[in-house]
Amino acid sequence: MTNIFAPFARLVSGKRRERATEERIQTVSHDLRAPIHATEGYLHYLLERESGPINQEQEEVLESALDSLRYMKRFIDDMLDLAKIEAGAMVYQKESTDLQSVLNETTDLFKFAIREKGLIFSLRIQPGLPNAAIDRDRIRQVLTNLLSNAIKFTRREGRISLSARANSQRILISVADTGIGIPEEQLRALFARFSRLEVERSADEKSEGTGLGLWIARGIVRAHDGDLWVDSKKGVGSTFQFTLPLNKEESR
Amino acid sequence: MNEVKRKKKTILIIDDRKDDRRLVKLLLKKFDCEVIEAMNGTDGLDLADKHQPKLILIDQMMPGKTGLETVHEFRQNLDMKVNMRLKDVPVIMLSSRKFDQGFTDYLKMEGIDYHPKPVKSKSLLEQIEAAIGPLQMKSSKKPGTAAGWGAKPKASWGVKK
Repeated sequence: MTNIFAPFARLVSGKRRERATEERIQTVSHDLRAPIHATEGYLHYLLERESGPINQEQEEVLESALDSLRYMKRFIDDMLDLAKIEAGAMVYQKESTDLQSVLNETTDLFKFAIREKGLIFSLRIQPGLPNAAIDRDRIRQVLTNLLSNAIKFTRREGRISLSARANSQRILISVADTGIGIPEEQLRALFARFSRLEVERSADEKSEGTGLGLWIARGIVRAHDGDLWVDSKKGVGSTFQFTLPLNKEESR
Repeated sequence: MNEVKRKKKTILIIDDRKDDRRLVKLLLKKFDCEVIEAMNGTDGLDLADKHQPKLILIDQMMPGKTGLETVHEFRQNLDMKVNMRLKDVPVIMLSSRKFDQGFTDYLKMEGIDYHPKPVKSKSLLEQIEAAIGPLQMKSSKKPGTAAGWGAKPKASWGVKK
């Protein structure tokens, strides 16, 4: 297993040069994505009938090819995040952040998927929720992962609720669904790398996960001195919760 | 229409990746315009100075000068380097940089249009026509529009020169 990551690990070795390392990984990421983008461009060229009419079967083939490329891009992003986290080279820009806006922004991304699947969604934020000291983009990444999982594994007309509240020490964010739940025997391995729920492949091939999302999400939360965990019951639903630090300068 | 006087529109594409340049050429081959290409900012500036393109399509992430640095070099008079012949040429930046509002806002402020990679044929053609006016189909005498796919072009899409 470790051999797979050897080239990445070498890339990110060199402590105390996190910034330089991050930049190097960014370059690798760009180099890996560039040919994928070019290929996507060519497929769009055909799909948009720039070379003449295409039939429905050809259109489906092109769409499938595009799906595969999108998956490949997600996989590259996740592999590079994994490499950064493992090497302790992920750079976090933590600043005092209004979580309400982060929660709103993130849920906006899913409004369409929620409506399309006929899910009932609720967002509850404790009034006067204090600011958190976080890297906004990375926490948005965590929320995006949890929400997309919740949507993926909840059947039509199910419920998803997102909530945020604080005590004197930390903020607690919870994503609860009435989805298919996680069988007990799979629960322990859920946060391992390349862990996928067995139902996942058949559930929705279009949005097949990389099996790295939760591992990365937990890595990000832990780098914020928080933790991420799950309670789940098969057939009933799952609740993922994570904690974030308050912004100390503002709490009184 | 005076065929003799009508000058072909020249479009310069600056991108270090051959597959990206080739896609733009493919996209433009059915139109009556000349596409010239450079692999980096420095060569691009030379070509631009020589050929006076109507439009520059430029990639942001390139070895050497970035796209933005290249544009600054002929547009801004930071060190009196501004190239008066090029300073008003419209620019469309192609970038695979992940969506970043700050970056696109900045480009807007600089008057640089932006097209995120992967290239979407129709919307890039619309951006090109918005910048330099309707493109003419190669096989037709009337001004064509980029919205349709038009007549089959005879030329292959190899490099012309």
